[in-house]
Amino acid sequence: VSPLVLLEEAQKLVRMGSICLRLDSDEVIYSDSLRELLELDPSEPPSVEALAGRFRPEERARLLALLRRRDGSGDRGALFSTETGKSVQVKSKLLDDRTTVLGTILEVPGAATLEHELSNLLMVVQGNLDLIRLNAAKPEKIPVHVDLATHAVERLAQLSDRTRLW
Amino acid sequence: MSRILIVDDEQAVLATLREFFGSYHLEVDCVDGLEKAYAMLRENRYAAVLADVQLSRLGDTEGLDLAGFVSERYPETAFVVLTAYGSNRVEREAREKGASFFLHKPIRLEDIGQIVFGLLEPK
Repeated sequence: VSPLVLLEEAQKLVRMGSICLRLDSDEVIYSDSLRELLELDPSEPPSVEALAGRFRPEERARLLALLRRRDGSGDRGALFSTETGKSVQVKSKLLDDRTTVLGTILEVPGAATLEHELSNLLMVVQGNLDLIRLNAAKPEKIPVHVDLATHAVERLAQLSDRTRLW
Repeated sequence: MSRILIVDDEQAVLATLREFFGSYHLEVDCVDGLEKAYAMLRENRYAAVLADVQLSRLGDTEGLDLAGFVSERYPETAFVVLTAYGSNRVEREAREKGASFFLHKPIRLEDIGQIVFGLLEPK
């Protein structure tokens, strides 16, 4: 089995894909695993625009900036969300020829759950602050809202610890 | 008195929304899962359902199934999505399945209230 085939299989195994982008011509090469991961149309020729189209619209400019980078200060990465709701970590590196960017896109299954939990807990904090304000004339209710908000903040701190794993 | 159903897998969110809508003298039922929501809908009539899209830690979109169930069987019941799961695809699908509004967490309670109370007003 050739090393390239093994590399492709390894990428599929860890739910990762790779992309190679030529900055002077915008020519793009995907790994097969990237097509699978981002559910890219196999009949569509590779392009950086097609790739960006698989991400949430509000995140596309940030993604393109990461992939079209022209500075050579090591690798850079960030978390993104795809149109289908997957959370992925994208990393890019400008190679020594200064005209080729190598990118990797890795699915981070826990990130969607984390986003869900963060938003829920922020909702609890916001909601109970609203209730404290709305219940200003009923001081007996305020300790309950303070407790709910405080407990949510404690859980937010625990979630913050979990993000250090990334 | 109008009756509403709130569906969310986070108990603290349910407690917060129950307190808010209860203070406006609405009858509020809260459940934390899809099957419990189906059971409540079969037994009661609701003016509105307020539901998250993701109703478990599995990352699925069960709330969209609930939207379809409500619009098909109880078209008089308004459906509002309140979620952190906010991709365009999910919002489009929620609206196709009958959701009247798609709200993003976190959001001020007054803003949720404005939407829900508007839906409860007699047409």
